Amino acid sequence: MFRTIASIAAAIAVASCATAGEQSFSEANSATYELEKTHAFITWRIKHNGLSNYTVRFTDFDATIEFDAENPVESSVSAVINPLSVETDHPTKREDWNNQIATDSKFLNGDEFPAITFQSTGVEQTGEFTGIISGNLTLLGVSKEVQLDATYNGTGNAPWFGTRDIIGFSATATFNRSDFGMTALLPNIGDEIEVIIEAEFVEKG
Amino acid sequence: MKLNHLMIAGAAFAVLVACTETAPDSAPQAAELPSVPANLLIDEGVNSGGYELEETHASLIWTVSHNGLSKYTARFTDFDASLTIDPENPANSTVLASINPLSVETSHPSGDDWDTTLGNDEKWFNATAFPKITYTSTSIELTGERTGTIMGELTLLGITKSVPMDVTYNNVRNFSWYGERDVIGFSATANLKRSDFGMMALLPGIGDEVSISIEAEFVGAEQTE
Repeated sequence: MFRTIASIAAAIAVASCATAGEQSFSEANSATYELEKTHAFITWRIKHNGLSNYTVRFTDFDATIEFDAENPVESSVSAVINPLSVETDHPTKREDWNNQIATDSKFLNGDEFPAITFQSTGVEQTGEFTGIISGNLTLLGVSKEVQLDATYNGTGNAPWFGTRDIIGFSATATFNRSDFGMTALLPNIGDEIEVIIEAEFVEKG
Repeated sequence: MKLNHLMIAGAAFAVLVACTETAPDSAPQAAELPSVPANLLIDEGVNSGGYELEETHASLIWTVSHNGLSKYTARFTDFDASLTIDPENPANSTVLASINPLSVETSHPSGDDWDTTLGNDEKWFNATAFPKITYTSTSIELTGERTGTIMGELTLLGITKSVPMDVTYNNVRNFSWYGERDVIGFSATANLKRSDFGMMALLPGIGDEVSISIEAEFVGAEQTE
């Protein structure tokens, strides 16, 4: 019985697979889209002593896209990340270490700056389904322009969202943390931060 | 300084982390590759012998296509690995790794239930029946100054298949808290088809190909002389 329930839960949770995504702008509605949080991931990496890329994630964030299917470069995106949701997966003292990265004034200083935000300012199309999204990233109270290399993966539908379209993107960005005043432990802990985003959005109901 | 130590303390290499105590018997053959000098994958001067995963600087992420719309991104948080390093002849090095499938984490916004399901459900990692995912290298082919391809046997859901892993050796460092023990770091990627291991659920909406990205530091085993 448990197996059955678990299987059904698994099918529901992983399977937004009513229709396979189609990589076409014209198949998607122009609309406001909200982050589909069960299929959205922010991973970031930073060089550790030149030995490995320390790999961390945020687990609490939100984003909204104003999607223009006819003229995709007219689309815009805004996002907000809760720095207190940083997850390092430290093997022995996860909560303490997460809390330290999240709140220490040398790092994300999340009590003083409780939101990391991104607001796009322009989109440049670089390929049929790729583009560079320029925008202002605000981190530690400092706003700087950061570019996202984004790929539109396509649109699909799922029965539980009815006629509301789902659209999916992959994006990467790199920036220097020192630009935002985070200079602790440079250069052993690298300056460059690589961000990897995978996210689906569902048309606002 | 305390922060500095906390942040840095702990270094390790990344492969699917193994915790087997014994090295594999299979002698890697790549030593005979003619075109690439054998001493390039790992810096000269790196101590030979056993290395243990430095678990505080090790990550194992995997992605799988979700309806073609995004790459579902998850990680294992409990794994171990060990190396035997032969700096004179890096192709003779070996790696063993072991992953606890119950440690899968998906960052699902509603909590841990979904991770528990993925870890336990017989359609997914079925950890009750198969409590370990393991990887044992069988040979290493040097492909560049700091790169190589590890051939190895991945055992998942009780099925063993050969899975190659592309590895980059990043560097060696020494830290006062490890004394003479070298710390070496690697980045690695691998791809596999889950259907090869009998995991067919929700194909093809949930993709067959699984992409794995590993970052790991390893510290030389303590000398027992």
